[in-house]
This record gives sequence, structure tokens and C-alpha cells, in this order.
Amino acid sequence: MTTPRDPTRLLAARVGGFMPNPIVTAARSLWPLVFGLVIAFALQSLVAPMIGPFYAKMLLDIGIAIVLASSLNIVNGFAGQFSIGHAGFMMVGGYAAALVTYYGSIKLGWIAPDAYGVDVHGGFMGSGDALFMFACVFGGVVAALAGLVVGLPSLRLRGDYLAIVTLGFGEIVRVLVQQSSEVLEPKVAAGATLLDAVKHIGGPLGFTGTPTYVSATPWIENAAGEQTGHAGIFFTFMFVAIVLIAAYRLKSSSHGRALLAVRENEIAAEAMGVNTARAKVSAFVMAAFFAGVGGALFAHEIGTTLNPKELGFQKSIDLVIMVVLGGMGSITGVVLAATILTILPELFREFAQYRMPVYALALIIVMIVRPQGLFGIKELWDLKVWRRYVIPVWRKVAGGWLIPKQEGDLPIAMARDLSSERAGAQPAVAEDSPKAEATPPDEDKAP
Amino acid sequence: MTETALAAVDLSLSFGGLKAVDKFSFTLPKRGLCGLIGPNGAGKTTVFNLLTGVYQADAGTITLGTRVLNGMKSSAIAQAGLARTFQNIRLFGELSVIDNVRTAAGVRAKSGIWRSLLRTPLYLAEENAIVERSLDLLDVLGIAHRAGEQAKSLPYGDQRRLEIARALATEPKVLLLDEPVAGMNSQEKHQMRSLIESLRERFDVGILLIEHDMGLVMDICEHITVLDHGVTIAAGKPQDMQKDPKVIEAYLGAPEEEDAAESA
Repeated sequence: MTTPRDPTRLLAARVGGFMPNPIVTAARSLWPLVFGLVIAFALQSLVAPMIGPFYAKMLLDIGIAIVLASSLNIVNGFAGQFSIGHAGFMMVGGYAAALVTYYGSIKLGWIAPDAYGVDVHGGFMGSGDALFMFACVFGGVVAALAGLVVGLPSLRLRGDYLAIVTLGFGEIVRVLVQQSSEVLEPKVAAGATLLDAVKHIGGPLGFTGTPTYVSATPWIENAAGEQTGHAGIFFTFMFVAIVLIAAYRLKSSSHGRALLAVRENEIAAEAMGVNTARAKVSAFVMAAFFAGVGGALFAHEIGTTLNPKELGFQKSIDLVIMVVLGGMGSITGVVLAATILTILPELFREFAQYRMPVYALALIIVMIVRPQGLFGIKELWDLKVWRRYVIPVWRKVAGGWLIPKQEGDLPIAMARDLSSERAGAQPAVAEDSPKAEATPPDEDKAP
Repeated sequence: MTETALAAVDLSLSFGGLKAVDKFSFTLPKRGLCGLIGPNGAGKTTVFNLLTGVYQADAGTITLGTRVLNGMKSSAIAQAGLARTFQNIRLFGELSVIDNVRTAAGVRAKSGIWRSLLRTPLYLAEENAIVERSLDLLDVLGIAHRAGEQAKSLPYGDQRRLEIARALATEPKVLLLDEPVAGMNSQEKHQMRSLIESLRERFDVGILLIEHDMGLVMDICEHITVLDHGVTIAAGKPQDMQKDPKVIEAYLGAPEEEDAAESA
């Protein structure tokens, strides 16, 4: 007999069944990240030298686009709060990070007065990379605070009105940055206060001191034969891994479903106990954090050409197109769209001036033919082909240890298998129920 | 004598000059099954919206058990144990059937965002328990075989069932059903009737029902409140309501014959 009133007992039994051995727990929790780190490292040290600078640059661009588009997907896709000011968060995160890497490294005494805009310290995984890593997280945190500020109006506004607010936010950030003064020379900067530094972030000329930590040619050597490159590809794909794991785990958790519920029907979500205000603001904060990280990566990829114009409305729209094309709410769909929309413009570089008309046309066609985007809300593994050929193998390989009985994930399509398995396995439930005759699923048609 | 699950005292609400609900009072005993009827536009759904915090009452108090619900947000009221379904179905259409239920079942989950992202044992146990409970609920409502389908693709009757399953997943003490059999054929109505009756015992809930199907209301409700133009015109046992001249007048307009009561 079911005991819907007694979840604690169920829970206790379950926890017992899980045997929370700390090592196993940590392994289950962290293996996707470790897996991602291994891939990121392989991309950095094996793949990038192999494919050469042109394709390594493309790889980087794809990684950064995935971080940015996936972060936008959290707020636009999951929570359904249409934001078109995402480049604003990028700008906040990117400039905050550049503040750390440029002024920070001067304060730390790493930049020689004559080495303006050049970073030579540390090499691969050296002290410079550590600073950059910190800068990325710092940029994310500052952007998350901005996300909190922008998230608050979303409690009162919806639809077009919210979009206008986010658009306004992006433009305000851009104009503010443009009003700032030129970047201080290292000599001057060494004595500058934090406030001075914040005031001098380049204005319309751009943050010309930004070091290029995210470089497509990490294997370059100096005259002495030391590798002076940085682990930019590694860091980029580390954050790709983090954002994808976070997005996936969010989507499959109660928190993520609360966001999706807000998107689907706000009134019903509220009536089912979802605190829609908190859900919306937290979506904005999370999305802004990863946008800030993505902005930091972007800033240190374009380096000395970091400029407010790069992060204007156009950039926001590029990201929106990736999310809409991939499918609002689909993690894999957005990854696919981000990849395609990064590769295509590179391949058709000579037709660059036609990019926006083509984008616009593509968007219109998608809206007519497939308004939910390529994948809709579904994921790659919800597709028929995937279920038939990949999932059985995956279950066989990893089922016992890595995914114990993770019904929590439960892609839409698998729920059906599960419920039919259950129906076959536990007929006792139906027989024991005192009121089973109230709902005889099989006898519905029988008169 | 019997414990009170939900009580409303003198609830009033005006939209501008229009009194949508005027001094609405009623009590729902624990595990009770009460009906709220009245002609179209009588203010029945408005009462539901007042009870669930969609509107805030101008005057009056609402108590669930011992808790006063006035001034609380809808989500807080739902978490306090008052769940509802909607007359115009409001499912999470793009989500699967089971995810609709899991969403509602998950709002009480203790795991915070960090536990969810790190997938700690507590989180996994909790999520698994939610899946189990959701499937159980779908079983009870007879739609477990559709767990994996998109909610919006369900036939109408099953959508109504899913709404009830979703409301039950919030572990309510009181369930408000807004026209649960609207648009159903007689066989479906029959099933829904026995289902609603069974819910009280099985989930230990009190039920307040809005329904236009008089046969159903008269059969299963222990107590009926009749609204017209926001005013409670009668309240009492179903048999008495059928004979109440005011009720007959509200429904039929002309209080002339005894026969009218039967046909109502």
C-alpha cells in the first residue's frame, strides 16, 4: 500500500540503500566534472597543437559561445524570462575580470613598466593562469550581483516589458563603460587606488591592457625555448563542462522543474507552491554568473581589443538566436546551435556582410517551421535514435556504479519505460489498494 | 465536535464598485467533502482565488487548521497545505506528465541548490522518493501509463486527472477542485466521482468542490453552499438545498413549482 503521507520513511529507507560512503559519494558527484577536465586538458595539450591556430581559435570561440548561450538558456529557456541584454552581463564580468588581470598583475608586480599589455608571466598553468582563473570567478560573481539587480524587475514585468528592461540594462552598462577614462599606464597604475582603476577601464578606446590569457596558440615558445602560452583552452572547456553539468543537474532537479513550471504557467506554478519570485531571481543570478564567466573568457581572448562596442546589443542578439534556434530549454540543442552558429560565419567569412540578413531569415524560417527550435525543450537523449541505440549501451557500461538508480534524471522518454516496468513489477499495489476499482486503467474501455 | 480543516469567516472582495464576494463564510471539516455551487458568474472561482491567495480579501479571515492564511502568497498557502485545480486547465504543457507531478512534489524538497548541483546522497534519495511518490499518484489517478507523455498531448479527461494528481503531490490538507468533471461524458463522470470520494480517505484531505453537475454534487457532498452574485443565498445539506426556494430561484428564475427542485 502506498504511503503518500510518509515521505520521511521512504527517504530514510532510500538513504540507507544508498550507503553514503564518502568516496563513492564524491565520485558520483564529481565524475562528470573530472571527465570534463580530462577532455579540456586533451583539447588544450593534444588537439589544439594538432589542428593549428585557425581551428584552435574556432574551438575556443565554440567553447565560449557554449558557455554564454547555455547561461542565457537558464533564464530564457528554463525560466522563460525573455532577456535580451545578456551582453551586459558579459561586459560586467569581462571588465571585472580584466580589472583583476591587468591592474591585479601590476599590483602584484608582474608586469614590467615596459611590457604594457603583454603578459609573460607564469606560462602554462603558472601564476598568471591562477590569477586569470580567479578573475573569471570574480567576473562571474560581479555579474551575478548585476543579475540580482536586473532580476528584481522581472518580478513585476513579463514578456516584452521585461525584454525592454534587460535591453536597457545592456545599453546602460555599455554607455557607462564608454564614459570611463583611458587605461592607466603600468607605472601610474602601480600607485592607483581601486576606485582609480575602476574609473580607468578604457572608455570607447577599449580596455587596451587586457592580457590574452585565452589564446588559440598556447604552445608558442619564447627565445629561451620555454612555453609562454596559457591554459586558455583548458579553462574555457573547464567552464564549458561546469556550465553544462550545472545546467543539466539544474534542469533535472526540483529547482529546475520549478523554473520550467514558471515558464509554462506562472499562476499554476505559484498555486503548486513554487515561489515564483525566488525562482525567477535565482535564474537571473545563475545565468548572469555564467555570462560573467563567459565574458571574462571572451575578454581575455580578444585581449587588447576588448571594447564596449564588441559587447553591445548585437552580441546579445547573437546569443538569443543561439538559444531560440537550439530550442528554449534544451541544453544539447543550445550547444548544437552555438557550435553551428560559431562555425558557419567563420566558414563563410567572405560573405560576412550578409550574416545578419541570413540570421534574420533563418530565425523567421525557424519560427514558422519549428517555433520551439531544433530540439524544443527536449534533449539529445530524448530522441528516438538515442534511446534505442545509446541508452542501453550506456546503462550496461555505467549503470551499476555511476548511475545507481538515478530516476531523478528521468528524461521524458525514459519515464514511460520506467512506469511500464513498474506496472509489470508491482501489480500488488493495485490489488491491495482499497479503492482500486475507482481507477481501473485497463478496464476503462470495458462497459 | 469534528476538527475544522478550512474555515472562512466573512470574506469580502470588491472589484471597484462591484461586490464580487460578499461576506462568504463556511467551514470544511477534516476529511469533509463540501460543495460550492451557483449560477455562472456567481463568484465561485473568485472564492477559490481568495482562498488560495490569488486575490487578497478586503475583509474576513481564512484559517487552514490553526493557521491564518490572510496576506500570504499563493505559493506559501500551497506549502501550508491548500492545493487547487483550475477550471480552465493550467498544466505545465511542455513538461511530461510525471514532471508535472514531480514539480509539485518537489516544492517541499529540503535539498538546496548546491546539494542539487553536487548531487549529494540526500538529494538523490529525495529525488527518487519524489519519483516514487509521483508514480504512485499517477497510479491512483489511473494515468501512470501516460507518465512519459507531454502533458498537453493528453486527452481532456486525463488532463483533469493530472491536475488533481499534481495538486495532491503538494501534500495538501485541503483540496479545492474547480469543476473536476466539466466536459466529461457520463462514464468518465462516474469514475471521477468514485475517485474524488476515495481521495478523502486515502490522502486524508478535505475537499471543497465547485461543480455545475448537480447530480454529482448532490450525491457526494455532505454540505453545500450556494452563491449568487457573490452572496451566499443558502447553505446546508444537499437535500435541503434542492428544496430551497432561493436556490431554485437563482437557478431557474421562477419559484413556482415543487418539480423544479427535482430537475435542478
